[in-house]
Amino acid sequence: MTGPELVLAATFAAIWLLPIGLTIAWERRNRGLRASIERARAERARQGHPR
Amino acid sequence: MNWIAWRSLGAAGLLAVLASTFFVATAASRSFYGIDHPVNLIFYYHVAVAWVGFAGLLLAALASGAYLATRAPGYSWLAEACIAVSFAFITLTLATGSVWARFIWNSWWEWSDLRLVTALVVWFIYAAYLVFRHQAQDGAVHAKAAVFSLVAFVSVPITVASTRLWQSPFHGTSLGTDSVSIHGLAFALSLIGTGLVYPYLVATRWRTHRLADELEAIEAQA
Repeated sequence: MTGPELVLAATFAAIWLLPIGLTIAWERRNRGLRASIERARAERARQGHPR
Repeated sequence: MNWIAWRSLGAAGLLAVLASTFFVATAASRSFYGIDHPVNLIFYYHVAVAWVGFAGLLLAALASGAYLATRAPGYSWLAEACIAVSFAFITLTLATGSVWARFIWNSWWEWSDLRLVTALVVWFIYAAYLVFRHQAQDGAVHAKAAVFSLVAFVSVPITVASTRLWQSPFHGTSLGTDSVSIHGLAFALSLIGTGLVYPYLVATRWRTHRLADELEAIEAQA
């Protein structure tokens, strides 16, 4: 592959990778937040607070 | 709308962009403005992400106005989510445009071109918004950020109309000109696909705000 072809291929890859990367990063963050919420709720329940 | 429906929207968007890629690769003309080069095919994604990204900034301005009127945090989350996703899309617009320019104009960037410079100004303004919006999670910052978003939106129509308002030495209008032959189906699929991926990404980001808010409320009770 020549230099220009590599740049072009990288550009087309970036068009796909940016939204996919954002999806993976934000979905992972949401999973982490959900897990933290569950832990916090379980801790409160352990301490005798209502959920 | 439940979460499975949002994900289906995102998946449908990716499929539409994939279908668009098929038509772009097999049937679309590589000749734009009289120059035959494969880099011209970037048009099909460059324009779609630009249009959807800029339309999202309008939604962000509307959400910011709604937040100032109601102070409901959901609107502030929506404005931030729209701007975060639009910022990514405008980054893609600038990057793809710059790569296209490198091959066609033999230059990565032209400071004398108003479309390029105004688009970069929009990028910087919304980068500043994101930095400002994330400095603190309180209502006063969110209200100032909403005003910021409303004022910042003035830059968007100026950029969109720049090629028609002023004589642009480099970046011409892409649509409605005889020197650009567009494969209608490929472009429509790219636009529809991008338009479906966008709300999915916004919903994912909005959900992050909602979950963070829920966690904060539980921790505040502890």
